[in-house]
Formats: sequence, structure tokens, C-alpha cells
Amino acid sequence: MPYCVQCGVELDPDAQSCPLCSTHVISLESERMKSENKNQMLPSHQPPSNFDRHLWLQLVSVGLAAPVLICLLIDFLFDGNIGWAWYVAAGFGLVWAWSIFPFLRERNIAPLWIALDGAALLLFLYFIEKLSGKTMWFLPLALPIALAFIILLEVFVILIQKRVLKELHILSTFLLGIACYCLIIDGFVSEYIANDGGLDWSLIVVVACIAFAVVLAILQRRRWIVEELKYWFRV
Amino acid sequence: MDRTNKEIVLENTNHPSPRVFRLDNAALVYPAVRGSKNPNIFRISADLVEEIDPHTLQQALDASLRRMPNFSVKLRSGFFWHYFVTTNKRLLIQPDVSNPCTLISDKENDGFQIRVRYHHTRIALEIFHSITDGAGALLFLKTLIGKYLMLNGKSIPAENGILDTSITPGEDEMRDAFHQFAGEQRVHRGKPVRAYHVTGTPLPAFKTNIITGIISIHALREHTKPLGVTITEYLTAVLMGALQANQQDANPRHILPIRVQVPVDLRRFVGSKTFRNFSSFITPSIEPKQGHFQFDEILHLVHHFTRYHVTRKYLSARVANNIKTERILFLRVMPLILKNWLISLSFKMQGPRSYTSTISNLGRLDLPKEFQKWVRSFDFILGYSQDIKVKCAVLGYKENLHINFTRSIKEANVEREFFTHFVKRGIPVRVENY
Repeated sequence: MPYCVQCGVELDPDAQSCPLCSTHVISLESERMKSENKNQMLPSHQPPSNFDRHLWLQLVSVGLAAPVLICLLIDFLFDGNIGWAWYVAAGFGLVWAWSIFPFLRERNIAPLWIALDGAALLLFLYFIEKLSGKTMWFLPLALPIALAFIILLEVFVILIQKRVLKELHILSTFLLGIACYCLIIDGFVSEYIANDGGLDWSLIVVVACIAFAVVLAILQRRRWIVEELKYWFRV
Repeated sequence: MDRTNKEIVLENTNHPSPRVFRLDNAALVYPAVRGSKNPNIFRISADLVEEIDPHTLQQALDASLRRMPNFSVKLRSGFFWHYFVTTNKRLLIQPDVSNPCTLISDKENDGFQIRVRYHHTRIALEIFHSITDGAGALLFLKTLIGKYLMLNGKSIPAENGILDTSITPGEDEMRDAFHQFAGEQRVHRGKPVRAYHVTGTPLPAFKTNIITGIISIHALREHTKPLGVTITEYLTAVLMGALQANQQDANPRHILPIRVQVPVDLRRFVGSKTFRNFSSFITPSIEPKQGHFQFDEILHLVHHFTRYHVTRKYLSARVANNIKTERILFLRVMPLILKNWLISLSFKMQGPRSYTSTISNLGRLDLPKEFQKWVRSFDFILGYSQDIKVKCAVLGYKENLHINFTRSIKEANVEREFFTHFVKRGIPVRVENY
């Protein structure tokens, strides 16, 4: 029978390492029994969610299609053509897309549905510009600002999912993301309005966000503070 | 096992009409606070000598559920309270999985709040805590295995908690015994004290780590007898010592009390036959702010705390306090949706935050020799929880004590400290991954 040299406990004949301290078990191959771990071959169980995905998709689709159809009908009956009802249809279309993309697949893949929701947002903005017709604001203003938002959100979510960011680092990165996004908004808005691209109010936001992010990054290094914060915020 | 549920329901149409049960006093809180992070499920399993025959096991389960109908229930939500209603559907046995005690979903289990799993020579019962406590579940598993062995041609006497499945269930077996046990005097629990919580790297969702330590009961008794303490007191003290060491390593600047919840079976005080929840708990504690506690000091404290609190007077006064809360008119007339929210909030504020860990000892099983011949071992496992990251469950059978630790973090520091305590005192420990 093998024993753990660190803990002194007796181990399973087929144990590769001690379950208590992970110390590698050194034993002669002839002594090691060939029996497999009884539970190793068992499948893992994941209880199904009580949330009915298909019912949600049906409810949202019908629930949003009904008012859109009513608006289109009213607009057509009163004016003889469809005008304002297109705005309603576009708005409801965006809400529909945002409501169903997260639930399209059984397994929730956040980066995928964020990308799809982002594409729906860009399409909506483009459609609104085409409907309003006169000013050109989609390409110089809406597209870069919306695209920057989608990319920053994607990066943030992927970093959390890959566990690169943990606890207070999530908050500090979020603040840095806000700072970055404010710079982008400020730059493109200045470029669009005054054609100078200079930065103004965003610098105040950046300084505040960086200061808080640094404080949070320092706090993260003190383990007991993190535990205290988790306790007080019931995380 | 490949027959459809419809066929099975048709087979079972001779069942009596559905019966409704109120949730007992201890069961009220669990439906409101359960979730995938805190499923409130525990498991008792037995390792038999021979390979399990699924068909026979299914027959044995059918017979056992007829004998103990309070296990064959669905949990329903009324306007004011949750309630159980018996079902005529057939609970199907399932193959075992590598991560036991996951949340029981209505979708996969036909509304049943128990699961029976099998794997090679093992039969396991997983059960939602609202149905029963450890002693009730053990009674069901013993009856199930007894019936299974009988159907396999073995001669098993219906004694020592193995029920005769041909007998009609008695009313006293399904009674909420808390009301009968509650005394006239009440004792308040007092203001909840914040206790130390073990921290570590969380495991992915639905994963749990279970480590089994096997210790000879004889060796342990030889060690505890001269000290004048019971095995439960001794194990509780060892766990508290391990938790104290864990806190010292993890967070020496911010020392909090170590409090361990120890369930107490109330059946022994009144000889109740109930299959439902009928247990309370005590919470011995140490305050490491006063200084480092040596093991002997912890053992002394636990011993006297237990002797003072595990009395019929004290426990009946505590139960009376819980019953009184249940009977408050304001709570009774509150709609369930608000009641759930209130219970959940109160549980978050006071429940797991006031204790560090749990150690539940079901004692040593005393079973007929004919039964022991066919069953190699028993294991008792508490379900994982995100709040209480390390839990301990103990069950003795034949010569060995099986101590199962369930944890929802990667690090096994508490378990290591716990088991090496015995090794240092010359008591051999065999450790396995469950």
C-alpha cells in the first residue's frame, strides 16, 4: 500500500498523488494495481435550467411582433403609406435581437451573442440614418463609437471568462475601459462637431477612473481586504 | 429501464389518491434558499458485494416508496406555503455521476425530490433536505437495500431499521414530530455572530471535491475512551483545530470565531418513528482572538458545550422558538413569493455567515449479520455549498468510520490538517478520492 511521504496517510493502490497535498506518489509499477478509479469513468451531471428557452423565444417574438404590426397597420390606414411606424419597427427589432441572441444556444457563449447584439445595434443605427435621410452621422460618428463599445465589451468579457481578471481587478479594468471609451467618444464627437478631434471633458473622467483603478489594484494585493469587501457586499 | 414513463404510470394506477403533506418546521427554509450554488442535497451510498442489477433495484425502489410514501412526493408552491403532494409516477433509478448532490431539477426528475443512482456495486440515495434528515434517509436506504437483497433471494430480517415493505405505512411515521417535541419554554438563539469562512480558489460550477478518510473505529475509541469524550465530540474538536490552523495561515490579521454546526438527532429523546426531518443542531465555538487554542483546550470546550446543550430541555426550548416563528400571524398570511424573499434574505444575513463548517455524524450502523454479509461499506456525503466551502459527514459501519469531506474550493488544507491529526497520534488513516 502506498503512503504519502508528506501527510503520512495511506493511499489507494492506484493513486498517482495524495488527495490532501498533491504530492506525487512514488511506487513500483509492479505494486500499482491496474484497477481504474471507480469514479473516473463516470459522466459529470449538469442539472438542466428551469428556464424554458424555447418558450422565451416564442413569447418575445410574438409579444414584440404584435405591436409592430399594429403600428404599421395604423400608420398605413391613416396616411396611406408607412412613415413613422418604421422607427417603431426598427426599435422593436433591436429589442427582439437583444432579447433572443443570448438564448439562441443551450450553452451561453457571451462573446458570440455580444457580437451579434453589436451587429444588430449597428444595423439599427444605419437604418435610422437612412430613414432620417438628411445628415450623415452614421459613418463619422455612430459607427466608430458603437464599434469601440462592442470591442471593449468583448475584450472585457473574454478576460473575465478566461479568468485573467478576478475580484477587484474586474472593477479596476472596468474603470479603465470606461476611461478609454470616454476618450473615444470625446475624440469622435469633437471631430464631428468642430473638426479638431481635441480632447476635453474626457480627461477629467480618465484621471478619476485611473485613480480609482490604481486604488482597487492596490487593495487587491491585500487578501483580507478582499475577503472583507466580499463579506460586506454579500458576494 | 427503456420503458416509457406512460407505460410505467399505467402499471401503477392502483396507487391511492394523492396525499398532501405540510413541510415540517426544519424543511420550510430549504425551498426558499436552494439553488445551483446551494442545492441542499445530501447523499448516502452503500457499496455492495455483488454487481447491482438495475431491474431488481427498480423493483426494490418501487416497494420502498410504497412503504415510505413521504419520499414519493413532489414539491408544490401554494399561495401561502410550499407543500408536498404524493405522486403516482414512478421514480426511475439513474446511473451514477462523478459530481454527486447537484440540484434536483423538476425537468429531469419528474418532480421527485430524491434520486437513486447505481454504479457497479454501489447504490446511492440523493435527497433534498426538505424531505428528511440523515437518519430518515438512512432508514430509506436500509429498507431499499434490504428489499433489493430479498428480491435477489437473500434472507434479510426486517429489523434494525430495515422496514418490512409489505406493511402499510403508519401515521406516526409521517408525522411532523417537531410540534410534539416543542416545549412550553422558548430559548432565543441570540444575535448571530459572524464566523470565519474558509476561502480558496472556487471550483467550476457543478464540480465538487470529495475526500474520504477511513479510520478504524476500534483505534479511535481506544484513543477517545481515556479522554472521556464521544467520537463526535472528538471529531468536532479536530475539525475546529484544523479550521483554526487554516485561519491562521489564510488570514492572521483578521481573526474571527470558529463555529462548527453539529446536527443532533431528536429521535433519541422521544423515540419518534417519523421518517421526516426531526433534528436540531448545536454550534460549539472557539474565539481565537483570545489566543491560540491547543487541541486539548478545544476538546474540553466542545465536550462541555455538548453536554450542556444536548439535553431534551434545551433542544425542545429551541424547537419551540422555531415553531413560534412559524406561527407568527404576519408570516402566515404573507404570500409565498414574499415569504420566500424574506426567508432567503434572513438566511443570507444570519444563516451560513454564523458558522464556519458542519460536521454531521450519523453514528455507527447496527445491522443484522445477514445484511452485513452483502454490504461492504456505507458513505455519507453532504452536498456542496458556495457559502460553507468545507463540510464533513461521518458514518460508521462494521469496523470503520468513513469521514467524507465535501469542498467547493481547490485547496484541501482543512482536510489535510484534519487527517494528519490522527496520523500524528498513531491512528492510521486511509485517504481516497470519492
